[in-house]
Parts: sequence; C-alpha cells; structure tokens
Amino acid sequence: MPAHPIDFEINPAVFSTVELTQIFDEKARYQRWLDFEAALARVQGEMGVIPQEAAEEIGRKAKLELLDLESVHEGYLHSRNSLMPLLGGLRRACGKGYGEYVHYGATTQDVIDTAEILELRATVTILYRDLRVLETICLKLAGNHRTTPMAARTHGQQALPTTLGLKVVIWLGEIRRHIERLKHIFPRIAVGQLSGAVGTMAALGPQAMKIAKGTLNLLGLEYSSVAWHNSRDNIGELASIFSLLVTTLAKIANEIFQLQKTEIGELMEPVPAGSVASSTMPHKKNPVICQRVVALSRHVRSLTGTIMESMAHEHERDGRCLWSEWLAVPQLCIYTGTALQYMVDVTSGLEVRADRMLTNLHLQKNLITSEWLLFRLSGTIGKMRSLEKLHELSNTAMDAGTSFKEAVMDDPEIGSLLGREEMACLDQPERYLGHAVQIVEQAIEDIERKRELDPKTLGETDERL
Amino acid sequence: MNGCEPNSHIVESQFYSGGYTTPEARKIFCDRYRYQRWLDVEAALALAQADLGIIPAWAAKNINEKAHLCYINLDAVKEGLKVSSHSLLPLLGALQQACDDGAGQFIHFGATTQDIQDTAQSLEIRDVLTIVTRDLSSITQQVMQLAERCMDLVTIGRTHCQYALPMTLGLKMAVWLDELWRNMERLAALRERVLVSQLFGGVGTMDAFAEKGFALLDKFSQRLGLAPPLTAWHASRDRIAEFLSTMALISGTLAKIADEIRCLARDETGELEEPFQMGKVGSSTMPHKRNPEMCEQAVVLARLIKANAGLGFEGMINEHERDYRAVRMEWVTVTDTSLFVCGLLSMMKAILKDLIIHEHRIRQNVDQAATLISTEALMFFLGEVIGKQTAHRIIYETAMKAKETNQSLLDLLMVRKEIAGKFKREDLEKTIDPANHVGMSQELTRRTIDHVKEKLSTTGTITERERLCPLTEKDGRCNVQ
Repeated sequence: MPAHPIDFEINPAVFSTVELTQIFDEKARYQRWLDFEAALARVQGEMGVIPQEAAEEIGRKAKLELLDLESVHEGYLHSRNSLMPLLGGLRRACGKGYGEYVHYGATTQDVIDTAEILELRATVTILYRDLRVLETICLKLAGNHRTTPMAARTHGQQALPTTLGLKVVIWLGEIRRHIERLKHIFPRIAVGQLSGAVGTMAALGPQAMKIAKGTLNLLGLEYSSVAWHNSRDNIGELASIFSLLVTTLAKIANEIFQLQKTEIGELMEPVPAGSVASSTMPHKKNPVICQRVVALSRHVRSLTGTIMESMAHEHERDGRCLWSEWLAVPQLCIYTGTALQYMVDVTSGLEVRADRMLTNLHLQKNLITSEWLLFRLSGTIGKMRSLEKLHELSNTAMDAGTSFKEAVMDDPEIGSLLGREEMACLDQPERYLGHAVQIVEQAIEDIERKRELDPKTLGETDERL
Repeated sequence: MNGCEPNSHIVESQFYSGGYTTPEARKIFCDRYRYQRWLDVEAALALAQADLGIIPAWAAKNINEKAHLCYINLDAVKEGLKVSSHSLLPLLGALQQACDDGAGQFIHFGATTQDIQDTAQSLEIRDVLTIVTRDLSSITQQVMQLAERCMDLVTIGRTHCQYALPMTLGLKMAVWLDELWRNMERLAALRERVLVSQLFGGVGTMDAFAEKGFALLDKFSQRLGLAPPLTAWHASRDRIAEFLSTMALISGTLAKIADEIRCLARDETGELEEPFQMGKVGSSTMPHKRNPEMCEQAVVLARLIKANAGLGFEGMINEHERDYRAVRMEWVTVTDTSLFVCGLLSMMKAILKDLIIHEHRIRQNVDQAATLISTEALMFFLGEVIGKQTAHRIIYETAMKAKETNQSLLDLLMVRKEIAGKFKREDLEKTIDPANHVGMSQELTRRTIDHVKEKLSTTGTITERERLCPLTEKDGRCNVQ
C-alpha cells in the first residue's frame, strides 16, 4: 500500500532512485539499529561489562530475519518508543536470558542518531560519486563547446555573444565547490552517538568512554566524548550543503528548460525513444526531467528549513526537534540524490543545437555587439557620450525595425569616425567573444588538477545495498 | 543631502526607495506616526472610560487634548527607553508630563501595553488594506480592459515552456483576472477578521475594568472604527499570519503576471513588453539593452513578501497568555510586508498601464507555429477516419521527423501512405488554421470579465482616510473621532 511517490510501485523512481530508497528502507534501518546493539554488546563483552556468552548470543541473533517481526509490530502498536519494541524482539530471540544484556546503558537516541549518521554517510558517498560523474560529463561538454558561439542573456534579454563552453564552466565551478564541500564535511559528520540518556554516560559504568569509542569504531565511525543529542548543527550544515547542491542542479536544469523553449531551441534534454510528451498534443517534446529537478530542489530547500529549525533544542533532548529532523532526513537525501542522478542523465545526452545558437545570435546581429562599438568610440568621443548616443540610435533602430549599423553610419556625429570595413564587425557577433575561450580552457585545466587530489570514494558503499 | 543621516534600510534610501515601496506606505510606518497612533489609542481609551464613569470627564478631555506628538518631549522618551527598556512607558510618562492638573494619573487606566500596541497595529493594517484594496481594484480593472482588448487576438499557448496549442491573449489575461478577483475576495474576508481592537488587560481577563469591561471594549472599539473581538488575541496571532499570507498570495499573483510579461518579452518571443520610454537604460555596458526591470523587481518583492509569510506562521506559536518572541517579530514582518506589497502594487499599476502588446509579433509567431500547435486538431480530424490513437502515433512520428529535419509537417504527412490516399491537403490546411482552434477562448474570457465586472459593481469602495503624517499637518493634530 505505498502512499508516497517515493515508494510507488506501478510508476516507481520518479522522485527517488532504487539505490537511495534502499538506504532508507524500513527493514534496512532496523537492521542498522540491531548492528549498533551487536557492536555495543561485543565491546561490553570483551571488556567484561556483560558476560562474553551474552555478547556472542546477541551478536548471533541481531539479524532482522531471526526476530519475530509479528510481535515487534504488535509492540509498536502499543508503545510510543521508537526502539523498545525492536529491542524486545531481540531480547526474546536471545536464548538463556542473555537478552537481558541488550542495550546496556545506551539511550534510544544513541541508536537512532548513530544509524542516521550511517545513512547520511551512505548518501554523501553516493552524492560524491555522482557529482564527480556530472563533473566529468560537464568537463567534456565545456571542452567540446569552448568555441561554440551563442547569445548570452541578462534580464532574459540577449546581452552579448558568449560560448556554450563558458556557460558550462560556470556550472562546473559550482559543481567543484560542492565536491570540496562534501569532502570537507564527510569526516566531520562521521561521528556516532553513545552517551546515555542525558549525555552523562551514567549507565555505561566506569569504562564508558572506552565502550563508546570501541562500539562506534566497530561501526566505522568516530567517537566524540561530548554528546550531540541536542546539538544538530552538523545535520543542519549537511542539509544546507544539500540545498546548495540541489539548487545548482536546479539552476542548470532551469537553464536547459529556458533554452529549450520552442522559440529559442538551443539546448534539448534527451528524450528516450518512445517517450511521449503530451497525451493530447502529439508534437510536444517536453523538458520533463529538468522540470522534475526544479521541483525536487524546492522540496529540498524547504526540508532544509525544517532541519535548520530543528537546531533550536530545549535542554538535553527535545523530541519536537528530533522528530521533525528524523522525518525530514530521508526525503532530503532521496530528493537530492535523485535530482543529481537526473542531471547526470540530462547532461550526458544533452542535445546542443549549435545552428540555432548561431541563428539566435544573429537575430539582432547589429545590436548584440553594441558594446564593441561603445568601446571603439569611447576613445574619440568619451564613454558616457558614446553610451548615450548608441542607446538613442539602438532604440530608434529597434523600434523602427531598421538597421542599427546604417543608423550609426548615417549619424552626423559619429558616422564618419568609423570605416565601413571596420563596421563589418557588427555583422559577425560570433567574433566578439572576449576571452571566453581562454577562460574555458583555464577553468578546465584547473578543475582537472583538482580532480587528481580527489579520493576515489568518500566512504565504503554499504555492503547491504 | 551629502551629510550622513543614517537611513540604511533600502526602503529609506533617498535614491532607491521607489523600487521597494511608496511614500504613502512609508508614512503609515513612520515611527513618529506610530507613536501618534499609540497616543490616539490612549486618547480613545480615556474618552471611552469617561463615558462610562471609570475616570473623570475633565481628565479624559485633557488627555485627549494633550495626546499629540507636538506636546511630547521626544528626547525624554528616547532617554526613558534606554533606561527602562520598556516599549511604551516612557511615552506614557511624557504624556503624563504634558497633561494638566493631575489628569495624567488617569492615562492607560487598566490597559496593558500590548492592548495599545496591538490596537494601533490594527489601525496600521487598516491603512495598508485601504491602499491594497484600492490598488488591487485598479489592477483588476486594468487587466479587465486588457482582456477585453485582446479578446480575439490569437496567440500561442505554451506548456512546459513549449508551444502547446493556440488560444487568445484575452484568455491568458482572463486567467489573471480570475486570480485577481479571488484576491479581492480574500481581502474583503480578511478585513472582517483582522480589523479588531485589543483591550483585555494583563492576561486577557479584563480584571482591571471589572463589570464595565465589555461596555468599555465596545465604546473604545467604536471610537477607533474597529470591531470588538470576542476574547483577547495577545497570544493568538492567526489574524496576523493570515494578513501576511494573504499579502503573499496577492504578491504571488502579481509576480506571476509580471514574470509572464518578462518571459514573453524575450527577444526570441517579443510578444509583450513592459512600458518603455527613451531615457530608460537597460545596461551600463550594452547600449542596445531594453530590460524588463520592473517585472523583475515585482518578482523580487513577491519573494521578500513570501519569506515573511513563513515567519507569520511561526509567530502563531505563542506560549501561555503572552509571548513577545512571537509578537515582536511582527514589528518587522508586518512593516516589511506592507511596505513591499504597496511598492509591488504601484509597480504593477505602472507596468499594466502602458503594457506594450506587439500584435504583429504575436501574429508572426502564431503563423510560423501553425502546423505544430494545431496537431491536436489534426489528430482529431484524421482520427475520425483512421482512429485517434493511430492518428496520435502517425502525427507524433511525423512531427518528430519534421522537427529534426526542419521540413514541413504537412509535406511529410502527405507522403505517408496512411494519409495520402484518404485526405486532401487543403482540408488538412484548413484544419490546422490556429484561429479555428482557440476553443472557447473568447467565451471564457467574456464570462470572466462579466463575472468580475458584476462583482466589482456591487462592491462598495472604501473611503480613504486621511493618511498624512500628523507632524506635517499645520497644527500637528490628528483627532480621534
């Protein structure tokens, strides 16, 4: 009975990917909680805090398939604790009363927070991998089109000529910064939680710190002696990085969406053969995926807002904050990762219509290089005077639909300052590219140098995936 | 002018304020005027209390006379605020100083600070709503006229930013009109709910007014032209959240219209354009640019207003009987939202007043797109003979080929064997003429215009209150009626 589009079965993976939903699959999450309990028992057994046999039995039985899930389910119907019914199942599964040693001195939030970190780590590992793939694709795109001329636009209006390569290396700058952000935050978030009910470790006994460190290390996490039960800035920071990342994706998606407009037609999102865009307009070719990415990004941003708010904890623990965070995190991760996967798909098959770019560039060819003329004239009559003059001439030409070049040539004040041959430049906007090509080449070189310093992967992918 | 008067908020800028708000709106929130309103509320309270014999009539008369900023030592108020950290007491102290013969002892008799400030805020909101209603009503009229004018003008409907089907420009505007009208209705409902007074004492029990509390609330409210609420709303801020979110809805509508104009102003489309006159400069380095900057600014304002709506919801969470963590946010959110929404409305009026409609570009775009945007009609026409699903498939394949090879859809269709034998080219041509496929565009536009026109005619206009800052008035007075 899947009620949320993330879990839809007939039309799956529209707002999610299989890989990401598997991280947050209910049973996978419970298994992670059991892994925590097994690790805790093992360390406590080795240190003589609980009997060695108990630790071994707990380790053997901490497998979801060995638990009576019917009775766990029954327990959840009556309990309001997120963990106890599952622990009850583990306790009952253990023989010889060894189950009594389960969860010895930990608090519920220790388990759930630690598992959340494992989930976030798995998500970041995927995001890092896919971002680097996206970077490779965009590097190639930028390289291939470093000289492909097109109209740059400001205020949605044609501004000056540029190249597609330059547009793409600007995307690449953002992508690279996100990769660096993920590298930077990864070690900081890989810290588990095991501090007992209010962070004092009271019930963990005299060897509390050693127990905590050992348990979390077994799970591949670091340990910090100060609890972060009510200190969620890391999660807030990660969520804002996700927002930043997904908003870059949305910006790229939006650019493609805009440039795919029928009237512009410069870029096209790839369409798989047989995909039908409209149920009633047979001619349509819609940028569906780009639109989905924008929609996903909006959700991610609002989920980030929720998570940021959840930083305002009261006292040592605060369920109002925790539950809003716990509810937001899975969606946050799934939506961000899905948007990224989508953009990998879109950019890898992106259709570039260089001919349309050129046609559009020539749409108002005399006008689009008015800046060139401005600086050409500035030396003679001053820049402010040229701006005033050309503004007047270009608007008159635009309104009358006449040639700007002719208007300049015929003007009594400036017409004689430039030769007809020189003015021919106005007819070839694709030559007025400034340093675009050079900027693209330098940026590509720079990013490729940085890529060499990247680790291949940030974390191990969860073996259960 | 070159000296440094600290006016760092953009709405106070001597140069750029106009992009964010209007002088009319700024007057409502000018801090002196705010104090004058608080004094007005205190005066109304004193007069109402005298009517009921709670305080002596001579004292009320004197308080009413002296409750004007011109009698208030504002320097002393400023000093008092520093020392007391109380937002109202220093002003009341100064009023007391201004009163004669011990009348000052009867000021603020049994009210709590928030009674005065919330009531004054309702008065501010009333002034804002007067402007908003007036301007939104003008915009509704403007759009109605535009829709009337463009009733039959065939244009391209777009979905996913792609050409979809033909329609009329009038219909596009009728959709705006419908949305605008719903906002007018929201405004009317909002006024009913929001414009209430507050006079319930420290925790909302009316303790200090005893059995005269209800009569006092009625008289006090009547003097200020506000409705008396059923209970205290010190810690119940849904009204303010509703005000903020309604302003966000209105801004959302306006920004959507502005953004549509901006989109259709692209060089490649060129169908609509915001007003232009020589001297308006698009770029400091590209002399040819003509930018839709007013439309862009409209979107900016709508975003700012929307952000405040979120804070409005947060402000609803109050603890116990009063909670300043919630209420003090309103000093920022209500002020900013009001200033921005007035700026936005005035900008939209200017955009719509001289909106440029490039009819020949619209016709050109339609003509050029005819074969593509009428494929639905073509599908139904062919479908009569060969079945609709088959027609969808054939046209889909042919349209994709036409797009990729840059050939005419009709040329390609007429060489397909499923089509060639069964249909005549001129019938296909007639079928795809966009003017034949605007559906019910005109009727829908007509109906919407008629509906809104009728509704508007039965809506009374709000009489505009004097909204001058009292300090600019000759005698510095602003009498409570």
